[in-house]
Formats: sequence, C-alpha cells, structure tokens
Amino acid sequence: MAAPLDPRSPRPDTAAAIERLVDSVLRRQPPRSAPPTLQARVFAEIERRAALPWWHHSFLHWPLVVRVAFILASLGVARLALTGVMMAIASMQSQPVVETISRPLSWAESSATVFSKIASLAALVFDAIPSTWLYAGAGVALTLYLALVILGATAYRTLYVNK
Amino acid sequence: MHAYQDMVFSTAARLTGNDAVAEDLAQETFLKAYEHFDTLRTSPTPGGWLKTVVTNLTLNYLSRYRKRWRFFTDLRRADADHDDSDSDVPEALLGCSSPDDLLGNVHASEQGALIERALKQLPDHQRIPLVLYHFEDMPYQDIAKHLRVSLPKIKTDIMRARIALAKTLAAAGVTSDSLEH
Repeated sequence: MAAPLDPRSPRPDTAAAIERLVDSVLRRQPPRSAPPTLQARVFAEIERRAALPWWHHSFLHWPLVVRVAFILASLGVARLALTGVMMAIASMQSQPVVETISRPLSWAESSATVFSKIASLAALVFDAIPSTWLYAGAGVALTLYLALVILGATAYRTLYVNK
Repeated sequence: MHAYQDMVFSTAARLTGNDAVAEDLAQETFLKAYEHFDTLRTSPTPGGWLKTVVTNLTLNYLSRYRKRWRFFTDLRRADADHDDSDSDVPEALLGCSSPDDLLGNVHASEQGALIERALKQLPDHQRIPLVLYHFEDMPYQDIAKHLRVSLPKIKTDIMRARIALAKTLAAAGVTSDSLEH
C-alpha cells in the first residue's frame, strides 16, 4: 500500500516526518574512511612540487629579485613596442608608403565591386524562388539539424553513459 | 592531516558520488592547506577551514562537469523528473519515527555501507542538495545560490531525494513485521 506524495507540495506532516527521519539517519552516519593511499599521494605531490624549479611555480612564488627583474623587463618590452608602433605610424605618412598602400586598396575596391555584383545576382535568384520552397528548405535543414543532435545524444547515452 | 582526512574525503565523496574524484579533490584540499600552513597552524578552526575548502572545490568541480555535460544530463534529468513513482511513500515508511525503525533489520556494521550506497544511487541533482542540507547544514537559500537553481526546485529535489533514500533504506532494512511493533 503506497501513499502518494507530491514533492512539490507535500502534506506538511508527512514531509516533516520524512525530513526528521532522513535527518536522523544521515546525522548519525560517521565520516567515511579515506583511502589509505590518500596521505601518501598528498606527500608525494608536495615533494614533487617542491622539486620543481622556481620558474615552474606561479609568479607569486618566484624569488623576489626575479619578480622585480621580470616586471622591469616587461615594462621595457612594452615601451619598446609602443615606440615601434609610434615610429611605424610616423613612417606611414611618408609618400612612398602611401603609394604602396593605395595599390592593394584599389585592388580591394575592385574586388568589392565584383562581390556586390554577385550579391545582386544572388538577390535576383532568391526573389525568383517561390517562398514556399524557401520555407520547405529551411524546414528540411532544421529537421536534419535536430536529427543530428538527437542522434548524437542517443549515441552518447547508449554508447558512453550506459556503458 | 590524519585527523581530518576522513572528514575531507567524506564530504567530497558524498557530494560527487565518486570515490576516485573524491580522492583527487581531497588531495587538492590538503595541498591548499599545505600552501596556507602558516595561517592554519594558528587557526582555532582548521577543520572548518578544510570543510569550506573541500566543499567549494567539490562544488566548483561539479559545476564545471555539469556545464560540460549539461545538454545530455538535462535530457536524462527531464526524464527522471517525470517519473512520479518516486513520490509514492509506502505506508510502512510513514510508521518509522527513528533510524532504528528504518534500519532495524540491518546489522549495525552494514548500516553505514547501505546508507552510502543509497546516497550514491541518487541522481546528482537530488544527492548534491540533500548532502549540502543534511551533512553540511547549508540552508535552502544558500544551496539554491551555490547551485544556481531556483529555491522551489531545490526544495522539491531535496524532498524527492529524502523519499527515494528512505524508500531504498526501507526496502533493505524494514520488514512489515518489524514495523508492526
């Protein structure tokens, strides 16, 4: 004989009774014993980490002198990079550079014209196709996509999870 | 370490339901403790510190794991949530008022293993909030916040978990004879 209980709105007396019962069962449960290998694993890992050279540790654990040197070197590299960029910008304003850049730009402009022609042609073809066909095509694509997802999920659950 | 290793391992094992992962998380906890050894040595509550660290590490692990497999596990979870058989409470179970009523027929040495097995059988979305509530004394609101799940869902999941756990234990340890007394 079973008494149905809706967990979303359980009868208060039944819910409270089960809560008390489960709570008393779980609370008197002692901690589980850790595997005997745990302590050895922790000590081995501490020894392994201690044996690593300083540059394998995180930055905060590097020697102070090295940390200061690293920060100074980083600042130097950043300054060099900044100077390099500024020099490049200044040199780009000279006439030969402007001519060199304008050549690929004109090529890019002609490419853009070609692409816009292709796009106009595609739009014409698109308009010529009846809208029903387009909806049907989109439906088929969506169905195939969903089928692929469902197939993947089923394969995962059958071949991996249940295994 | 010896004094706290069982507590740390238990917390991780009950939350994950996986002993191998729990051992990794316990190891990570003690390595963190080693890094903060100077602070911990003078701390009046190193046990509390370790408990907090292992709980957070485990919840982080579970959160990463859940994100990775959310799509697939949610499909399974939806199936499980529609199974209302979990909410049928045997009348015999309602007559139990103490753990001895529930586990009366199980030998004391086997009770621990039986409870741990029953906990492992619960799905993640029921076991994790149940363990946080009953073992870690975390209030419902905090559990909902940690697991990023709504408060009503947490309450429902914990209720389902209690019923499922009690049913499993009752099936193993209670006979109608013992309940009639």
